[in-house]
Order: sequence, then C-alpha cells, then structure tokens
Amino acid sequence: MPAMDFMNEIENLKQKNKDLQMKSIMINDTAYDVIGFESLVDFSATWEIVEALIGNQENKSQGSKGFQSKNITWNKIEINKQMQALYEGKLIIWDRAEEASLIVDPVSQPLYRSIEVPVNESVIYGAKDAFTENSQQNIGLLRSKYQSKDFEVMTTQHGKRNRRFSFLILKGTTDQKMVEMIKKKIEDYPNEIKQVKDIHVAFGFSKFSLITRVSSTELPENAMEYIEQGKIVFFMDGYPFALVMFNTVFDVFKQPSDSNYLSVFVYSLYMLRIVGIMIAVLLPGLYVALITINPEMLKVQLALSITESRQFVPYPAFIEIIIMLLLIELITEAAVRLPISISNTIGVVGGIILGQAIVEASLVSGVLIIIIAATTIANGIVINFENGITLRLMKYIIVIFSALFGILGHVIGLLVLCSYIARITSFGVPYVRWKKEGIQSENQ
Amino acid sequence: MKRNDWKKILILLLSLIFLSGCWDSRDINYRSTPILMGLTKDEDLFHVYLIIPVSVVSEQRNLAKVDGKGITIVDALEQLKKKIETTIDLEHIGFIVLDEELGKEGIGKIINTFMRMRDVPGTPAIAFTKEDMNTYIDQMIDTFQKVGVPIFGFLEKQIGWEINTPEVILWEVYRGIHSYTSDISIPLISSNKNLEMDYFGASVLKDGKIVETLDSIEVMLMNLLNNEENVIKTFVTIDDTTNVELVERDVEYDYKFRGDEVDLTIRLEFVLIVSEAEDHLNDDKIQKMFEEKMKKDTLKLVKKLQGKHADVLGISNRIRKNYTNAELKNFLEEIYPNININVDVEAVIENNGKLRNLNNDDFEDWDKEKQEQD
Amino acid sequence: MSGGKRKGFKVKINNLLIITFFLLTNIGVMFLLYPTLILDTVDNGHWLVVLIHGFTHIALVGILLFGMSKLENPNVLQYLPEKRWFISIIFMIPLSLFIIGTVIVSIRTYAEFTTVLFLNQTPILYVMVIFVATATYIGLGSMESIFRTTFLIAGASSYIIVVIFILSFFNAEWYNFFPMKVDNIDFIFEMPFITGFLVLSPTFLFFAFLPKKKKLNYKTIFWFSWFLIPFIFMAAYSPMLVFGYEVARNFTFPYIEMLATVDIQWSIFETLTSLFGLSLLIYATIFLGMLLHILRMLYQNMFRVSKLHASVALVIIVIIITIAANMISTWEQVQTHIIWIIPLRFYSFISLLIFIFWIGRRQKHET
Repeated sequence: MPAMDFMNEIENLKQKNKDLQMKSIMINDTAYDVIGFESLVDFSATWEIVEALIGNQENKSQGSKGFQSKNITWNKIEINKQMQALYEGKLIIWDRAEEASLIVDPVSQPLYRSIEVPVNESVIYGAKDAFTENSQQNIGLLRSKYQSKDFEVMTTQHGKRNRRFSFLILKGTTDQKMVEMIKKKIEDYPNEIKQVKDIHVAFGFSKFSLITRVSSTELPENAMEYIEQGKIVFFMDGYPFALVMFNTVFDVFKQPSDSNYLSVFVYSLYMLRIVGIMIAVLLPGLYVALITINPEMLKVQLALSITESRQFVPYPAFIEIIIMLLLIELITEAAVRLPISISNTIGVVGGIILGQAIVEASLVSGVLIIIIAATTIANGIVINFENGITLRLMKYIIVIFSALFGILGHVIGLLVLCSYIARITSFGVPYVRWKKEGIQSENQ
Repeated sequence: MKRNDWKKILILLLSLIFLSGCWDSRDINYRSTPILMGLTKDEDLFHVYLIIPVSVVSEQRNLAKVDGKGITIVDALEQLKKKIETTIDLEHIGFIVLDEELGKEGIGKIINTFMRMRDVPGTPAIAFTKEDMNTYIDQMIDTFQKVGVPIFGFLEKQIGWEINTPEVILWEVYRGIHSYTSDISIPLISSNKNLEMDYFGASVLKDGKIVETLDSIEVMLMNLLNNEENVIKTFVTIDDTTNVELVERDVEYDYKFRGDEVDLTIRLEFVLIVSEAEDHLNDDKIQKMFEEKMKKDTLKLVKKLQGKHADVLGISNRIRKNYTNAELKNFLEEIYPNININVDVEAVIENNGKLRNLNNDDFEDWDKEKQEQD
Repeated sequence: MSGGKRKGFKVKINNLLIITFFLLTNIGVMFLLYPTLILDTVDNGHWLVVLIHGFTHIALVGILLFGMSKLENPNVLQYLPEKRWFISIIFMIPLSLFIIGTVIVSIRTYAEFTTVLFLNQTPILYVMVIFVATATYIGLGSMESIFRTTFLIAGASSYIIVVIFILSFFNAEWYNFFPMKVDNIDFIFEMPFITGFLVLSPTFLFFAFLPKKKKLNYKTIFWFSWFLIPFIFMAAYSPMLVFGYEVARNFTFPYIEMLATVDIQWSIFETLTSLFGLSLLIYATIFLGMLLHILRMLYQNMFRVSKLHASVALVIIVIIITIAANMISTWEQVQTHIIWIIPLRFYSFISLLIFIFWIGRRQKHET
C-alpha cells in the first residue's frame, strides 16, 4: 500500500512540476528509483554518489568503508516527510523491492553565490568576507571564526515557506532564556515572515519606530563581536545579513574592525563620527532656526553674507531647505536604484550641474548648498546604513521644531529625540546602555 | 495599547502647537542689522542715527544712513523703523556714538535704557563725539566706502586697539555709573577724512555726567594703571628728543591705614627699550628722566581725579575689602578724596634697540684714570 | 562612554546615570533664580549664605539617602499601607501640591527667561506650552528613560557647559569678591534667606522614588553631591565678580547678564548667553519631566489606578498647570508665588523624612 501511495504521489507531483525527475537504476539486480528536483539537484554530479552509496550498501556485510553509510539507513519514511525533503533539495532513493527509501544530500545546483567581499559595509582593515543568502554557509563562516564547543546553533522553521531561522549561542555569554523566548515569538507568529519588518511585528515592536531594533550586518567579524558582547544574532534563510538584536546607541559610531587601528586614532575616529552625527542631525535645523527666527545669534559678518546670498530667494528658509533636502533624497534614492554605470551620471547631474544652476537661478541660497552638502556627507559617516536612514529621518523632525520655535525649538527637538531614543527598549533591554547592561541583569 | 493612547494625547498637544501657526518672524533677508548707532538731542527730541549695511548683489557692500526723532530713545527708534520696510535688529550693534552734549547733561538714563532693552546686546563700544552727529555719520560712511576700513569690531581690544586710546563697552559704562568704588571714562572721537577716526582723549563720567576730560597721555597712564592684561608695546615721549618703548609693566598698590587716614603708594615698575635719544645721554639719565616724568604725570592725574571725586584708575576698588557695602556707598565722596597718594616709579632699561649706547660704558671711568696716569 | 572607573572607586553605571541626572538638574535649576535670591539676602558676606544653603542642601540629601539606604525597596510608594487615605492626606497630597506649585512657577520663570533671551515675538503661552508638552512627554516615560535621556543630553551638551564655566571668569575682577565682612546674621530670619533656603530641594525628591531594579551605592551618590557647593558658589559669585554686588543686584538674571559680557571671537555665535541659556532650558525641562513623573506615580498610588489612567490624569493636570501658569501675568507675581509654596516645601520634606523613618521602624518590627 505505501508503495503505491508513494509512487502515485510522485506521479502526481510530476504532473504539476515539470522539473521533478525520476530516474531508474539497476544495481545488483535491484531496481532503484532516484527522485529529485532537477532545478535543485545536479543529477549528473550526484549520480556517482548514488552509485557509490548503493554499492556500499550492498557490501555492508563485508565491512563498510563509505562514510555516508554509517548514518544513512533504509527506512520506511512517511510520505509527507519525504515530500518535504524533496522540496528542501534532497534526493530520494526508492528501493522498489523493499519499499524503503533513502534520503540523500545530493550535489545541489549552484543556486547560492560564493563568499564575496562586502558590498554595503566596506572595511579597510578587517576581515573581507561577507554573509550570503545561504544560512548554512553563514553559520560556517562564524564557526570558522570561533572554533570551540561553546559555540552552538539553534534552529527553528516557520510558516508555509518553511523558512529557517538559526540562532547563534555562545555559552556563558548569550542569554539562553532570551533566545528561547525570541524563538518562541517567531514560532508563534501566525503570519508569514517575509521580510525583516515581519520580524519586528512578530516581536511586538512598533512598525513606526525610528530606530531599528533588529539591525543587520553583513560582516561575519562584526556578527561574531556582537555575539561576544551578549547580543543575540540570528540568520534568516535567504537574507544575506546577520540579524542582530539589542544593539546599543554606541553601535552607531563604533564598529569592531575599528580596533585594528591605533587606539589614539580610534578615539579620534569616534569623536569624528559623533561630530558627524551631530552635523547630520542638527545642521539643517540650525540653519532654519538661525535664518528664520534667531539671526541675532550669528556673527554680523556671517549674517550679512547669508543675507546677501538669500537676497532673491522668494520663500522662507523652511520651504527652501525642504526643497533642497527633498532633492538630495531623490538623488540618493535614484543612485541606489540605477545601475552603477548610470548612477555616477546622476551624481554629477544632481550634485554639480543642479547645485550650480539652482543657486544661479536664486531658488535657494548658496549657503544652503554648503549646509546640505555637509549634512549629506556627514550622514554617510555612521556605521550602518540603517542608522544612516534613522539620521536622515531625524533631521526633518529637528527642522520642523526649528521652524516653529527657532533655536529653542531646535534644542527642544533634540531633547524630544533623546527622550525618544532613551525610552526604546526591546524585551526590557534599553537601547541606550553599556554593552552588557540589561541583558545580563535579566540573566540573574 | 497603552502606548497608542498616550501617543494620541501627545499628537493632540502637538497639534495645538502647530495650529497656533507662525507668528511674526521674518527671514534674515527681510531684516536690517545696523552696526553703528549715533544718538543726539535736537531741542528735547532724541535723534537716533543708524548705519545699516545694505546688501546688494554686487561685490561691494554699501552703507546706508537712517535716522529718526522721538521723545524717548525707543520712540525715536520706532519712528525710524516706520521709515524702512525691513525689520530692524539691534542685536548686532557694535558701536554707539553719543553726542558730547548728552554727556554733559548726564547719560545715566540712556545707558540704563540700552541695558534694559532686550534687543541691544551688552557688548557695543561707547564713545562721545563733539561733532555734529549728521556730519559724523556721513563722514563715517564716506570713509568706509572710500578707504574700505573694516567697520566690524573697530575699537575692540582684539583688533585695532592701542593703549593710548580708551576703550569701553556698554556694560562697563553701566558698571562704572552704578558701582560704589569706580567710575568710567568714555573716549572722545571725531571723524577724519583720511582715517577712520580721531581721538581727543576721554571724558570722565561721574554718576553719568562728564566732570573732567583726559588727554591722550593721561588716558595712556589710566590704561597702564588699570588694565591688567592688555599691555602692548607703547612709546612714551619723555622730552623733545627722547623716546622709550614700554615692554613690561607692573603695578602695585600699597595701602596703609593710620586711624581714619589712608596712605597709598602706587608702585610702578617698567621695563624699557630706548628707541630715540640724544647721543650724549646714558642709560642712567634716560631712566631718571623717565621715572621723574612718569611720577609727575601720574601724581598730577591722580590729584586731578581726586579733586573731582572720580576714580577711573581703580584705586578704590582695591580697598573694597576693608569696608562693608554700606560704608562703600559714600566712599568716593568721603574717603577717596582724602587718600594720601604717593607714586613710586622704578624703571629698568632692557636694551638700546639695535644700537649700543656707548655713553654708559662701564669701563669709561677706568679708561680716564688710565689716561691721566699716562 | 567611559563608564567604568573614576577616581579610584568604582562607579556603577546606574549610579553614574543618577549622579549625572542629579548634577545636571541642579545646574538647570540653580543658575536662573538662585543668584538673585542670594543677592537679595544680605548686603555683605554672601559666601556665608552660600555655604549655609549648600551645606543644608547636602545634609538633607545625606539624610534622605541614608534613610533610603536602610529600606529594601528604593521606592517609598511600595510601602504604602492598605488603608492609605490617612497617608494620602498627610503626606501625598501636600507633596503633590508642592510639585504642582513648583512646576507652575518654574515654567513661568523659564518662559519669561526664554522670551527675554531668544523669542521676543512669541507669546509667552506658546513657550510655556512647548516646555510643558516636552516635560510631559519626558515624564510619561519610565524613570530609567529619564536618566538615559539625561545621559544623552549630557553627552551632547556637557562640553559647552564646561567651556562656559571657564569663560564665565573671563571678565571677573578679584576685588569685586569683597567686601566679605559679615556684620550680622539677622538675615537668617528674613524672607529672602528663607526663600532661598532649600530652593533646590525639588531636585533630589526623586531619590525617594527610584525604580526597583536599581542597585545603588548611596554613599557614592552622596559624595558626588558635594560637587554642588562649587556650582552654588559659581552661580552666586560669578555675576558679583564681574559687576560687583551693587551692580549685579540690578539684573533680573544676573548670571545671564554676566555671560552676555563675554565677547568671544572664535565662536560662530555672537554670544555664549544663548548657548548657555539653551542648555539650562533643556536641563530644566528634564527636571520638570521628572517632577511630573513623580506626580504621576503619586496619583497612581493615591487612587490605585492603572498606569494609563494616571497618564491621562497627568495630561489633564498639566493642562490645568499651563492655564494656571498663564494666569500669572507679571514677574512680580511670580516672586509672590514662589513665597506661597515655601510652607509646602518645608512641610513636604519633613513629612517625607518622617514617612521614611516610619517605614524603617515598621520594617524593623516585622523582621
């Protein structure tokens, strides 16, 4: 009965999926069927394995030498499981006579790219490998960096897609309970987890948060460092980044590979980044505040030269800066969407030609161009692209506050933002904290 | 759930602010920032002049003169504001010129008004002028446009200040008028066709009224005695042919109390460089001449000020510690004029510039003896 | 960033956050009103007044911290008995009224100060609304989040404050320190002294309401509170050193006027005053946020309601506060209102200390 069922299932499946292959093979007068998806399995390369495997199986009584044979046994496996195995890219060898089957890891089609140099996070001194879409490979990358029994991996699968989530645990550092809880949150989430946003929702975080509570990193070196700091790192299959929970406000300007430099330089670098962050968030707001409501704070010379450059600008500073910021955002986004060869052109057109023309046409003042350029450059100095997005959004809040209340509104906006950041917690662990604070206190 | 609720409340509160809309705020290009204010009185009406840089698109900046008359200063400013369309920000005023006539009547109230006004900063420099204000302002604008002298921060210590020109700023004048133990002197200036301005010395204020005038040498002495930090290279003319350069200076005030009497010795120590001298003078002589001259001038200045009950030299400040505030109230009237002041000058000549002074050759006497023996 | 060790003994992060908060709020509260109060108190020998104020302040902080260190739970509200109407009337309601009064007077003062300094044209009501809205937003967060906000703000502004403290002696003349003779001590019974006495007390109220998780080293916090004395000295004496007593007395905000005299060439901004004023205003807003947070906690425990209910109630109270503050029309009235809340100030502090003492006694009996 099961045999018939199985063959029927396979036939059925074959009708629907043209890439399902079933090949027969005769070894030692026994007929075997080899089943697998052509799109997932490289049949020609797998064939040898199959032959060796079955051959080995035959010779088992004489003492086996094949390494596969030890853990692979012929079994009567449930049909559902076998189907699942097929979808995961495994190969099934079906013994017609005994109606037993063997699930084999074949040589798979080259569906995953190989390990490459990081694209989004560039490092100068530091490991140059980057995560890929294949989470097994990613885990391998991490294992190669931490070769010890303390390093454990916990896996769960979720949803119809059977998406695999792998949690990395460093014994003694990672809070096991927290990992269990997070795992359970993912398992209990009723909807499909498609993107990182769904993880946010599954964890119960607000969708409209300005700060990413589940941040991504591309660098195995960073991921390893985060694990050692007690943060929780996990992989989502098909997402070529490690997801990091419990990042802190310090991660905005610190990154592990910094430590490859001289210490003095590293601290100067931190200062530089902090200044950059301040500029990126505060400068446009400061411009609006000083131009619109509190010009008395500027030095006379500066005030006069700004006055001169704004002479023929027809609208208030708020509108002026919003136009320019919008333009810059457009240029940035366009450069991301377009192929690299064209995006350079966008940079030239947007930055040089448009910038020059817009000042000459007196649509915005020349000083503003400097402000915008400084802001955009400073925005790039933060560690993660996600943090850069946060800063990009925050500056608008400051600009609005500044336009309403001048320099006072500017600092009040800063205060509100600080207060907002300070009250962000993920599972009770605050965002503004020292490395292990909070995570460990939960432990005890 | 909770979070959402108070978020709504917050949004309500914020929208309250937003609904309130924008109030009277103008962008920087609709504001004028005067940098100089002239104040005079025309038959009981205050007459205020402002110099405003007018920004035009050309490379050169032009200056404009605006004026207004009114019963009070603020009224005059209001009248003036009616004349031009832009808002006037007084925050950048760097220089206030007052008519000397005002000083004779007393500027206490005027200074109080400036200190009280929210939009006048505490830091503009203050000066008196003898000229007609209108001419003065025109001359200033003219000079600037022709010669292109920097109009920002003139009269400021960090920029073109010299020791024989007095320099005071608004809050110092205010302090000078209201302090128990010190008074203030305000520079007297006039415009000049070639240069930026001329100095005629300084007017000493007592309770806001001019009581005495100091010439530029007296001003220099005042600055030497009073300003602790700002010693800059100064040339002192001793007589027609001799001139020395001051390099360093140290002032000490020694007070001795004998019952109700106070004895004060002002001890001045100088380090000099000879910069101009007759050939026959040696260092000792130059030094003596200098010491005598300084002593004489200082004593004269001190006596002059004591007679007017005004203290711009900081003499009284240094005995504050011996009295209570109640006693200090009448200090300048009762105690200060009776202080017995003595001046002690000590000078050291550092060198003679690039030339040697052969007159003070130490071997000279010895040489003479030798010649006589021969 | 450098959390670990300071001056030989270890400062835990929790303690550091609390110390930062304590010092910053004190700076925010001190530099506006305190110089005027000191100048009004006596004619001679202000240093004595400053020392008396400073030491009593620190002594009170010490007593409060000592009392709290004996309790197992750092929040006194956890010890409220089942029948709490009596304690509500005798302790919590006066304390709440004191907080409300302080908030009303404070926002009025800060709004006044703001319009003097930067927003000449903005109506005072809107300035008060923006302060109170921000303070409410801060106060609605947890107490920990308030500490962390302070930490971020301190990181962003502390260097400005340090530079300004150094520059505030730019125009100082040493002889203005005198006269320093003390001719009598009658001032102790006079109104300005009593007004100034414990005027900073609301800044350490929060020591009695700390969240549970914190493990504190009360001794460290106490020793750090000694830093207040130099601050108080600076607040009172820098205007006097620049202007002299007789002139400094004339200003509404002497410290601010003193800063306005500092003329710096290298700054992009015209004066330091605005920067310092802004820092003060932020610190003060955090301080108000903390007071409102305590107010919410009191409300929640008084009527035993949910956190949400208390938050809504707080917003309503805040609206009432704003209306009340808007009704104070003149600066003179502000001064009289400061005098009004003096009895409440003394009463609520004594009752708070007695309450802590009572809890300690009960705790002893139970064990």
